[in-house]
Parts: sequence; structure tokens; C-alpha cells
Amino acid sequence: MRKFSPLACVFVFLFFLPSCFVSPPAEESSFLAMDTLVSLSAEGRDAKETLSRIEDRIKLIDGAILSAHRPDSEISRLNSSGSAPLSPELYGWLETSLEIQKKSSGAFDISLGKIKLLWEDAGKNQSLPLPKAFESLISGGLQLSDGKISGLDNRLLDLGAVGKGIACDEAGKILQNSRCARAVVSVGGSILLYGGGNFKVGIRHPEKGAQEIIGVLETYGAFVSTSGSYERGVEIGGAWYPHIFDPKTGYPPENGLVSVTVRAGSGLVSDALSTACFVLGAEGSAPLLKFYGAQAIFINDKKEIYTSEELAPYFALEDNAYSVFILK
Amino acid sequence: MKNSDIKLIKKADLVIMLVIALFALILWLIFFPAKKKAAVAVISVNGQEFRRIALDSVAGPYELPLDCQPPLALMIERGCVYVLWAECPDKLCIRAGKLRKNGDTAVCLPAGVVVRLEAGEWLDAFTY
Repeated sequence: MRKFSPLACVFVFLFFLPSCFVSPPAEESSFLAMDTLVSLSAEGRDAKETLSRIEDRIKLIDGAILSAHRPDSEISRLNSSGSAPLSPELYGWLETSLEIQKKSSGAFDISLGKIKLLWEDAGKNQSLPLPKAFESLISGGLQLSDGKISGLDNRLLDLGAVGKGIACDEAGKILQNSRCARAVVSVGGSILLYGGGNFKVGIRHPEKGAQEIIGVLETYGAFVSTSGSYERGVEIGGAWYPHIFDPKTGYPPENGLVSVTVRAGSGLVSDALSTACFVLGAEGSAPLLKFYGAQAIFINDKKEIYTSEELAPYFALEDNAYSVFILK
Repeated sequence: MKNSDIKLIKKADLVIMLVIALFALILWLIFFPAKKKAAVAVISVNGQEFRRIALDSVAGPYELPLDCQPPLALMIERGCVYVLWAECPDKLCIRAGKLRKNGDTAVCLPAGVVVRLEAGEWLDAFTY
């Protein structure tokens, strides 16, 4: 019987070895949706088609369901009618959002649409709103039943605090049915890191320019979102009022926080928790983060950074004027 | 033929294997060099790519007005680009500051303008 020479085996092995090092085609694209810039990148044989499917899906859920600006979106129709039958998608997102609202003892609220509008007007008129203006807008209990939402009263639904995370979740579903091995989806400050290996995520510096980073978090594939007081807001009489509100008062929280970055297993959760934790503060957020298996990095105006124990070894500080503390 | 007659690897085989491995390594280094991108400003208006500017090869600073509504102009300098002026109400694009490193972005939603320095290797993503 003829035997293969060991040398031939080595030859064949070496012949195919380079194919291990050839990275699959990488694709990048970006577009405007969800009131922000969406950037996509993916590696894989069907990367191009996958990115185009993600773009279509994000534009669809933005325009048809989530957008507060488009009069024909599901949210806008719901706000004008007070209560209407919900699409299964929106029902699911509202269900998770209301669960977070409950678990955060009301620090997170999806019915702050009117409060946001009041602050936008306040910015235009340059007059600080009085606490009385918010009295009737402080959230009561929203209820989901029989495919409908009730208890909205004179408030307006605004899914701005979860929309970007939802977009990341939807992108994740498409990626799972693709042949992409690795992808990054950035919807504004909410990110999906998909695939194997580690990812390096820059976290924005709260004081320096919009492009500066305060540190780099190295993480496995996950969802990461940041809420920062610098991002959106109004200036009244020289003072800055961010678009992050304590649902119990209608005013931005005064706990000294300037940004909160959350890592979680879902985009909706990471997005919502970054807002909820901004309101709750570093200490008060621990039970909420624990419940959702999430971790966070809190930065305050005293140049202090508090990070969850799990993230501490993977966070590299870039600005030595800041000090890092570990939350136990 | 007995099994003991087959000597698995001779000295000459080893030499040939090493030569082939070395040859493969050289080929790999030639064909798959480290992906190193220079900073390129990608400017798009209403979703259409308008221009790509390699910032390393900008001779001197110049103003680049964009054909958009509301109007806006960029300042292109060696190694950096930023929104010089814009007639949009919120001026968020100006607040984005100077874009220097790969991945930096300035967006003007009212004008549909996106300026982005192409994503580089050292960071996979940026959260803000």
C-alpha cells in the first residue's frame, strides 16, 4: 500500500496555512437616523448585504415607530390619541422599559416627552421653568394590558432614552443571522460590539472637546451606552441644563455626575440604565445594575471616576487629572 | 514493506520544511501588511459622499463651504478639520470641535452634513 510522505503532508498544510490569516472582507457605512449619526462596520462574507439590511431596519423602526418628530410614527399617533393598539415590537420595548422604570423606582421614565418640550421652550424663552410647571407631569403608573398602554394622562411618551439601544438590539438580531464574525454598530453614543475577541471603546472626556477621550474600556462583545450632561440640553442665563431629567422633579439631577457609561447584555437595557444611573447616582445604582447583570463607569464634576469592580481592570485612564475609584 | 522502514523525518526534510515556512512567512508579510490608515476626512451631504481629503497632505489651511441648507463651512488644516461656521440653530457641529484622530465625527443634522475621520485601528468604537 502506498503511504503519504510526511513531507507531502507538511506541504499541503503550509499551502493552506495562509488562508487562516486572510481576514474576511470588511465593510463600513454611515447614515443619519434616530436624530444622530449611525456608523456600521462589519467583517464577513456577507458584510455588505448585512450592513444594508441593518440600515434599512434602523431607518424603518425610527420612521415608522419611534420618531417623536414624525407625525405618522406609532409613538406620535399614540401621543395624539392617548391610547391605541400597539404593534408587537413597540409592546415588547414598552414592556422592558416599564420594567426598568419599576426596578429603578421611577428614576427612569418613558413619559417625559412634555417635560422635554417645556425645557426646550425654556431655552428659547431664556426663562427657567418653575417647579409648578412640572407638577401635573410627574409620572404616575403607566399600565400595559390587552395590547394597549394606559395611564398616560396629559404626559407624552418619548423613547429617546431607549431608541438608540433598541436600534443596536435590532442590528444584533440581523448580525446573528448573518455570516459576519465581527461588527461594531454605533447609534450615537450607544454601541453594539458584536463577535469574538475584545473591543476597545473610547469614552468621551466630559470637559474637553467632543472628540477627546477620558479613557479606554476593553470589553468582550456587549452593548455599551453613555449618558452625558454635555450632550444635549439648553443654556439659560449662562447655566447649562442637560436633557436628562429626574422624573420626580422634572429638573436635571443635581448629584454632580457628568457622565455614566453602562455595559449590558442588551442595547435597550444599556441605554435605559445609563439614564437611570445618571439620576440615581453611583451608590444608588448598584441594585439596578446588579439586577440586569450590568456594569457602569460614573464620572463626576470633582474629576472622580467610579467604576464597577468588573470593569476596573479593563479601564485605562487617559487623563491623569482624574482619579479612579472602584465601586464595591 | 515493514513499518520500521519508513523513517518519518529525515534531516533534509527538516531543511526543506524550514525553507518553505520561511518562504510562506515572507509571502505573508508582503501580501498582508499591517492595516495602517492615514487620517482621511470623509465629508458627506444628505447621505451622499461629497469629498475625501487626506489630512496628512493638506498644504495649508483653507475654508471649504458646503452646498447645503442651512449653509455651513469647514476649515481644512494639515492633520485636522472642523466646522468653521454654520447657520443651523443649535451649532452642535461647531461644538464637535477639531477632528484630529481616526473615528472623530462632526454632524450637522439640519444641514445633513457628516464629517468623519475614517475609523482607525486603535479604537473599535467611541461612546459619548
